[in-house]
Amino acid sequence: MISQQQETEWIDRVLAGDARAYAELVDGFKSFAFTIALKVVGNRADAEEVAQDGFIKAYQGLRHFNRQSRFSTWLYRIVFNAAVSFKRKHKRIFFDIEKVHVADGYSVQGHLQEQDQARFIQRALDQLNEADRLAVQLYYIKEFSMEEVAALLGQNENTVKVRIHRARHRLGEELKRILKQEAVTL
Amino acid sequence: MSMQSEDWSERIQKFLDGELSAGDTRALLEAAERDAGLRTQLAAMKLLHMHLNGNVLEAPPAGFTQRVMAGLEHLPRSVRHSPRNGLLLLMGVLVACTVLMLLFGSDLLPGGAIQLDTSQLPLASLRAPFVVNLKWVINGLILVNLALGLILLDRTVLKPFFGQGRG
Repeated sequence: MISQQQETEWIDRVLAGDARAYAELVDGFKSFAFTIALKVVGNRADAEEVAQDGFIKAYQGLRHFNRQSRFSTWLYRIVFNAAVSFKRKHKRIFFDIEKVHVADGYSVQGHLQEQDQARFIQRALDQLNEADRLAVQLYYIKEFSMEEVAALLGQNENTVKVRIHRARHRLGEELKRILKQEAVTL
Repeated sequence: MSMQSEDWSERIQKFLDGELSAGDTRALLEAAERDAGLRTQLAAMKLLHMHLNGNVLEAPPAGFTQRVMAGLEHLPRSVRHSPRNGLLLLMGVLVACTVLMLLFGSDLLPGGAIQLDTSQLPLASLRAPFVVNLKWVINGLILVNLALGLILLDRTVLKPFFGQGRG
């Protein structure tokens, strides 16, 4: 966990013209930024592009960063907005190769079941709007605090808690419906 | 189910997050035994919880930082509008304005238009009289200087000062 003091030190060094300090900053937050981008755009190649773009935008705007919030929160918001606009610009069906399982001829039922489950959950997640989906996904990543998720969405913690609760409820209902539907189809 | 689906959902979420008391947990599980709908709801939310609980921070591909830093090197160099540079330029503009205004008010400049006899000029082909009103020229220069001064003031002092609220 990177402290606020560490963040401030890096920012001061960057503003003083030390480019290496920005490399340290990128190293410190790249996984967080990449994860947010990945959860929104859905594939690694585009997520990398979006996260890189986010870091470049943050660098360009660093002089105007007022330090009332944490740098990480500010950066996550930049990355989130960049990811959402990227997705809007490139409206197409994302097909994540990592989610594709090539049958090896020895697939056991359990494995197939696991695949199906992941597919059903993804279908349920797709029913949520961008912000709700990201809020739920980040809620389950222990490195993201509720405060950070709230700041990213531009809402207070209590509102986000309610939002996550409702989103989980909707997900449960959706998954229940999908499972019932699948049971009928089989 | 006597309770609403949303009420059960809240209990199930608390149960999955480990926040439900032992008594309420027992009540929930007993109710799920009796009610097929609640059982499905519990199974669906448990599945969801187990799947999402596997969410971890994803590491970007190797060389990510180097690629960001390389991207920064290709950025166009922005012009630095520091308040100090701006104020110095502004002073220069004001000095220029003052000099022009002094010139304008002095007797050095003729009040009327200057008429150039183009026949005296090497360009023999020019025959039409060429009229230059110096006061108009000075007026124009003062106006340009004032506009330049306002732009400088805005870019180097006002915008950075009032822009601090953003970010």
